[in-house]
Amino acid sequence: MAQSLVTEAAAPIAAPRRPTRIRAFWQPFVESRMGPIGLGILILVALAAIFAPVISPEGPFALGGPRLAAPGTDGHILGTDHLGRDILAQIVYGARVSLTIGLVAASISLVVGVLIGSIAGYCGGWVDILLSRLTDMFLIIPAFFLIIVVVATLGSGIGYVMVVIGLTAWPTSARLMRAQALSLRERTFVQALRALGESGPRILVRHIIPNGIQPLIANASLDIAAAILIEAGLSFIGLGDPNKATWGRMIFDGRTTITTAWWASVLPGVAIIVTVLGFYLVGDGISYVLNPRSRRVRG
Amino acid sequence: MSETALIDVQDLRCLFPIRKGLGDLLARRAHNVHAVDSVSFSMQRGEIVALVGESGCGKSTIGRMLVKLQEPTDGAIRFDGQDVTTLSGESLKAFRRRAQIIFQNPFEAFDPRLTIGASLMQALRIHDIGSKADREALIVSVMERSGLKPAQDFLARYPHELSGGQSQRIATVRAMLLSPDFLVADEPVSMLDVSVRADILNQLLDLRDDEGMAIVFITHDLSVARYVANRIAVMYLGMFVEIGPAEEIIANPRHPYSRALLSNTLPVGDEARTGEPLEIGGEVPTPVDIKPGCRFANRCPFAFDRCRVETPVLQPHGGKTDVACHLYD
Amino acid sequence: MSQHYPLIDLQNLSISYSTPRGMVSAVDDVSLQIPHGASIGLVGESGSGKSTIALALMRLLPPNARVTGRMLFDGTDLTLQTETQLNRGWRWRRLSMVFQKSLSALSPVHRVGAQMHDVLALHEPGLREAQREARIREVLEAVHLPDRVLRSYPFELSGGMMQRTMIALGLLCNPPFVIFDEATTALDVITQAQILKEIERLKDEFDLTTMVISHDVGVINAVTDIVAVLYAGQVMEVAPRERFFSMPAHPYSRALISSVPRLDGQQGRITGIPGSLPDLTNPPSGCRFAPRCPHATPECMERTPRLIEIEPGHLVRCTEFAMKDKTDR
Repeated sequence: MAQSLVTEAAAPIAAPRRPTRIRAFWQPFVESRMGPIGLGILILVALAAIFAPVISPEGPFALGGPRLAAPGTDGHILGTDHLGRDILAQIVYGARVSLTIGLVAASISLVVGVLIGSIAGYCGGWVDILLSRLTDMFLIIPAFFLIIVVVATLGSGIGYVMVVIGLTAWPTSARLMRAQALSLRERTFVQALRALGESGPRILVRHIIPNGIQPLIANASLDIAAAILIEAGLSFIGLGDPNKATWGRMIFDGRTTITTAWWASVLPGVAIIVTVLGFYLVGDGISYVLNPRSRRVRG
Repeated sequence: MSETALIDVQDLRCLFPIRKGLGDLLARRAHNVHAVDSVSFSMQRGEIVALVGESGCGKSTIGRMLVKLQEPTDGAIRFDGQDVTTLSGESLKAFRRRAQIIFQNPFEAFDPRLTIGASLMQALRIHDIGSKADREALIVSVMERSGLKPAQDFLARYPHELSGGQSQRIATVRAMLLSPDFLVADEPVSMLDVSVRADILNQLLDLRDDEGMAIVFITHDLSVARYVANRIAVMYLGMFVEIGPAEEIIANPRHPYSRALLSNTLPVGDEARTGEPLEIGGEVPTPVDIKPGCRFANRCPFAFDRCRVETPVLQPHGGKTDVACHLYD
Repeated sequence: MSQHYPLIDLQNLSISYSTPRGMVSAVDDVSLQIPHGASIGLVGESGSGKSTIALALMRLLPPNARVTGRMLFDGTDLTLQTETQLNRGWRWRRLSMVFQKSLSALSPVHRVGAQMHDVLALHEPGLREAQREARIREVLEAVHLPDRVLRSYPFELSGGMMQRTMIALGLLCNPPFVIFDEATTALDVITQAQILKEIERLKDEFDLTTMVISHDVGVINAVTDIVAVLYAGQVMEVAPRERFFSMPAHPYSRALISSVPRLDGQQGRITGIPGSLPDLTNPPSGCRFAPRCPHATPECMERTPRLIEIEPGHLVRCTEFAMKDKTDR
């Protein structure tokens, strides 16, 4: 029956050691040079947050130390604030808060954005029109001011802040995902899956989203950074959660003594800058992995 | 004879609306691209019909409509006597088992994140074919019957680790796993190297001869069409201009466009040229807002007045092929 | 009358690309002579190296390319020229190139006329505006394009007009040598025939020496005088066109020709070539086609045969002919 068919020798196409997907990501990530630097920064920040009780066993609220002590006095490596609390302790415990806010807010944004964007892009038609207009509406809402309103009416709990940031950041993710879904929908393998009889929702979840999500991961990194900055801004104008040791609140507390005891405000500021920088660099690194692959010359 | 026909298409039309601007919106003018217009034909099991035409002639759109990847604007498609437009849910899924398609781009035929084995399993899983134990054996057997030995080696690979030819063969295997009666092959070899095409073409011929598969083969290449097809349908701007037995279309094309296509097909080597190439000026326009009259008239060297006002109908006109041309009235 | 000295003389040209996976040997020891006034066709499939050779001649290879060997243009070695020298005296003035993907070869945000002015300004800075205008009109006329093309953006032109524009661009500085790299591949059959006819005419009118690169043997048969077959970076056969198609010597050439379906009917089934391209980061030590060749001997795998002249103007790289050559002496 198949005599006319020629048996195809399975010639090896890939190099002998087939690069795994992790390796395929890691190598260009390292090449970007910015990525690993950012990652290094974030690992340090994460370690500081995780090992906060080890680094500063007394906790961030321990009173009783000398007030506004300069860095290096009395065992306080980074000095103390106007209430005698250790700056280093507040910074490492503050890292926990900042990272939590960033991760939760970005996760909400990612999940909501991916769902809405992928459904809009894949389904098209009036579903797309409806969801796109919804996205536009949320896009217009200025996050910062909405948070101020929420905080003013409901109180300044960290929880509110995280949720509100997440719910105002998702439109960007949704737009990205929608664009990905629109282009993926026309790809041959998706058409083939439709022709095979695969159901729409399964195609969406198992094929469209996994294949389209990569740029959103890069974007998520930026979202985390933005969330940290927003929280810092909130705390700085006094609307932050007073019960939590956050970097923004530290800057707020130290603003009156900035000329005499600079370390109380400047050091948490440095912490914010470094952490945000870390996320931006990682985001850049991920973008590099996604983009210059096509720019790099293949033999 | 349409009682025994597997596929029966009547007056199939597919229009794509285009929105031009505010002026049109206010004046409520709708512009349409007539991708496919009044196409009718039927085919039996064990037959390959080639749709031949240049890009934009609507051949791919017809292919997609036949497997319900595209909904027609008008007209009827009957598959084994059943009206295809009413299908949904379970009946649609059952239809998909019987009517499959392979596409032009072999490099994008599979989800890049899955192994070939996973992709093939998925096809069986969607239709609940066989038990888990059976599935792997079935996949291996179909792969090896198609000459892809050792099957396990291919199943472990990712799509980017295959050559174009291998990928296209496996795409065909995937379609065959469902044991369809009907296959649409949309330019399956256009993106493949010349030396690799024969395998795919021969695989399709085997499916026709050994399994009685009905195949609609879409191509822009007349030589390839002649090689695989029993019948050839020549398309221009969404319509059939001529349809008939493959040898007849090649030996005695009647429609001026068929003649132009044939005479301009480059011969290879010592092949005899089929007469002087018929020169056709102009370019293929986009079929927007078509008016009555023959669509080829403005480029046809033999056009006369009637051609510009009255649309010709596809008819035998006493010959061995059906042709839509006033020259033969 | 054209003298038959070689305008282009490639001597032991080898090109490798440095990639993360290793050195990819894209072109291996290619020696080729193109007589003045002749049209040579480079035919091969993907990975044959034909486009690489063209880019090498234009010195347009990417920075990770390593070139060894000589490329003599009218006696001068192009590998030794600096970028400034190439831009001032060579590119576009002595040799130019017509690319395949016209739409991506022109800037989409500039009108065609502006782009042509730019090219002239770069390569012939001595011309005044009026002279540039005149020259541009000249080439447009030569390719039968209307003036309005100058005011159009690339996306407003049809495929055929785009290709003519590319050809006009290539002729802008009256070079004696033009490379056509798959120049008609994206066009429909009828337009392709038109463009090939134009190319023939322009060859005579401008006394051009040309290199036509294509995977389509039909195109090679239509517009070339000499055919060179490339496989995996090596020249396998060189022959005058008629001789090549009537008596191809190399097994790969023969397989290539017989894998194309003929319009005048096939005797039985066409066969492809089993297997796939060798891994060019680790190319086989002997003949690169040997792993897929039905006539391969152990000697073929060990040592790359030399290019032997079996008839005047007909060269073959094949152990079979190398043996005969030895026994004849």
